[in-house]
Amino acid sequence: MEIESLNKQFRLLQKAVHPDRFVNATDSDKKQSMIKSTEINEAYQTLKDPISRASHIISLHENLKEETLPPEFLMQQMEWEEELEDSNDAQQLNNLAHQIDEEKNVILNLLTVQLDEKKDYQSALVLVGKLKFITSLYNKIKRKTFSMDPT
Amino acid sequence: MALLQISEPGKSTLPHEHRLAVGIDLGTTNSLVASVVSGKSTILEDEDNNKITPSIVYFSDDKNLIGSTAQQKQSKDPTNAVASGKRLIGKSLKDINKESFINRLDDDDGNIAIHTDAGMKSPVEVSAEILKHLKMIAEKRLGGVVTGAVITVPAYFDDAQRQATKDAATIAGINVLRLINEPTAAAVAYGLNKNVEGNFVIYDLGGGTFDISILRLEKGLFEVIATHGDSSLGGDDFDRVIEDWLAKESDIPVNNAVKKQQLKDLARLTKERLTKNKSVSLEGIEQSMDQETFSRLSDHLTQKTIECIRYALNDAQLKVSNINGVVMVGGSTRMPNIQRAVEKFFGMPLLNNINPDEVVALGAAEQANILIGNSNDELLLLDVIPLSLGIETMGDIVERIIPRNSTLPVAMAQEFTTYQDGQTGMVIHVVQGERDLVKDCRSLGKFTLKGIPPMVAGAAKIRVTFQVDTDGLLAVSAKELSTGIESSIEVKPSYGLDDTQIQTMLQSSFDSAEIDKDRRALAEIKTEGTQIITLIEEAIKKDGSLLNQAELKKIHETIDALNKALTSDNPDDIKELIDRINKETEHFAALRMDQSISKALSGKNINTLEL
Repeated sequence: MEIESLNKQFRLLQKAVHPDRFVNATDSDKKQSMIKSTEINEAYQTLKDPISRASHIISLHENLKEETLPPEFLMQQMEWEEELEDSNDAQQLNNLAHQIDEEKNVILNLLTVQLDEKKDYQSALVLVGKLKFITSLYNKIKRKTFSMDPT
Repeated sequence: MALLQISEPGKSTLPHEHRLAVGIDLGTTNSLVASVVSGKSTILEDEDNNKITPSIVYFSDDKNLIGSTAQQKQSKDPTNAVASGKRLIGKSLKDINKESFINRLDDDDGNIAIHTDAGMKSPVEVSAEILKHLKMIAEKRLGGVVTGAVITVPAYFDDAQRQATKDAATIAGINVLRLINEPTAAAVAYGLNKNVEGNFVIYDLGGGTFDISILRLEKGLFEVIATHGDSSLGGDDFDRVIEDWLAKESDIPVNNAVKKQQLKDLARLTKERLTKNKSVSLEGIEQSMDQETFSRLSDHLTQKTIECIRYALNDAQLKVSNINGVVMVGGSTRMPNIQRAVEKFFGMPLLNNINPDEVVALGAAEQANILIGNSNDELLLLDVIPLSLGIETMGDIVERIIPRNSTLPVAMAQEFTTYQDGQTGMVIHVVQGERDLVKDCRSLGKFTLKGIPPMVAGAAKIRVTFQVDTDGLLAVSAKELSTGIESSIEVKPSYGLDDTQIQTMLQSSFDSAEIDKDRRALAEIKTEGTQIITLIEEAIKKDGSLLNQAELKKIHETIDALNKALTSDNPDDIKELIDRINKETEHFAALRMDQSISKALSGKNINTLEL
């Protein structure tokens, strides 16, 4: 999906329904405006982020098994966690962040294929599980970097 | 005393008429009111041509004084003058440093009460007095009734502080169009929305609060992407640095309120003079202070603000190099040491050519003018919630329900169940803040849910919705899902003022000899009734085709009934019919909103409309 077109639609919709446009309106109009504006914000947040967007698309499909991450990924997880633990300077942390970011892009590409082309939601679910872990690890690395050098 | 002015029923403003709207900067130290006059945002001056009203209220049995007259009384009788009331609003006694206030403060059921000879006063009443005064200034200058106001608050204000500010406006008889964040208002005043795109930092150091906001500007849309700050850091703290130094260097005994006030005044004066002079000699004592000493003594405060910038940048996932401009707001940014530190941090010249005392009110007035419908400016402000909202769970742990920096309005629903057979009530403790433990966050209060239908433990499914509106204010509603019972579940916050208390304060703020309360209430409800009829008739004229004949007939019947009731003098009948018509048009409103959504989404619009 085109992020530019998403942004554009979001702006158009908020301009149509945002409560600021209904300051001089009846209570029922004000209430509806707030409901719709809230929904549009939520939809935008969901669609803007590839992971939450994928989760949402998957959630529209029922009868999926609970996802289990493959053992080799669990091993990889532990290695990354250890590396984070042992990294004590910004350079090391940046390297790790870079490595993880690359892995994230690889998985994101796979996810696009599973969702858009193969429509294999069960496999997509596993990929989303991996991405969620990777994102939280990435944030941990960033927090550690920030605490060492807040610039 | 200024009276609330009420337009005669029937003479109320029609949707397309020019209406008077103002922007109010309700500051810790000073307050200002502005309005768009002949297309230009202008500060409105009082009778003595002062643009600035000191945020001081002097309480006496006779007559309350506000602004410079209160300030004059303050030096002689400081305990009956309340200054920096903004530092108290929406807070409880344990949140503040009592020592930094000259007034005697007490606890009043979780809220702060201020001792004066005219009785106990609440910070909300202090703000209400100032707002009333500003409204009077505006109505004298503009020569008419102010229909609505945009009031600014620090971006970092939490729900309780925002609610208290809005309550103060209600008591002052002001129709609040929107509470907007001070930094956002400043950005509007700089016209950043007109021709620039990019990321902007607003550095706002006022008398008592510090805010840092990062805004993204794009095609008529103002998006706040991160805010940070300290709601108890401001110019007052820089004064105190000088105050402490004076007390230490001069050995003047400071043993009473008058001496303490004199010392405070001398400290502020010294700080102000140091913005223009390298060194200032101090009257009465054999001492002088230079910029360098001041800069050194206050460096920990300056660094505190720089630390906040770092956090905000981190939240926004931006680097210094991604920032296109830095706007300086608030009188305290005049301090040369502050200017130097910020300039050095960002490595670029600062935007500071609009008077930092006026910039917020000027921007608020522009926004008020847009909201009330006087301007064709398509600007839309999308603000965020400054602090995460959470609820208390087992073990004093906070479960986050709405993360900070979510775009407003935002809502989140959470399901709860009962843990005992036949349980009919439960308490939800809502907190605001970023920490994991309940005790480290600000408690917004406990919401009591009542009237849950009795069932076996765990069978009831209660869906609680937390909605934060565009003013940043929280509303909680609850519904039992298995039975669908909604109305009987009572949600009552335990903080701030409830509607009855506001009504009482509102009524007591009017002199009953001058105006009859009942007549005032009747006039108000009649205006509301007339307005709603006008609005609904316009909507029917435009979109009546969305309804079937039966629906239209029903609405027309209620309008007729309301019209008839308006000729009577029974406010209860009118109120009932207004409520009924609001209910009956809810579906119509939803249909119209859906229509504007499909219009906005239709391909034709996207291609032809310039964003």
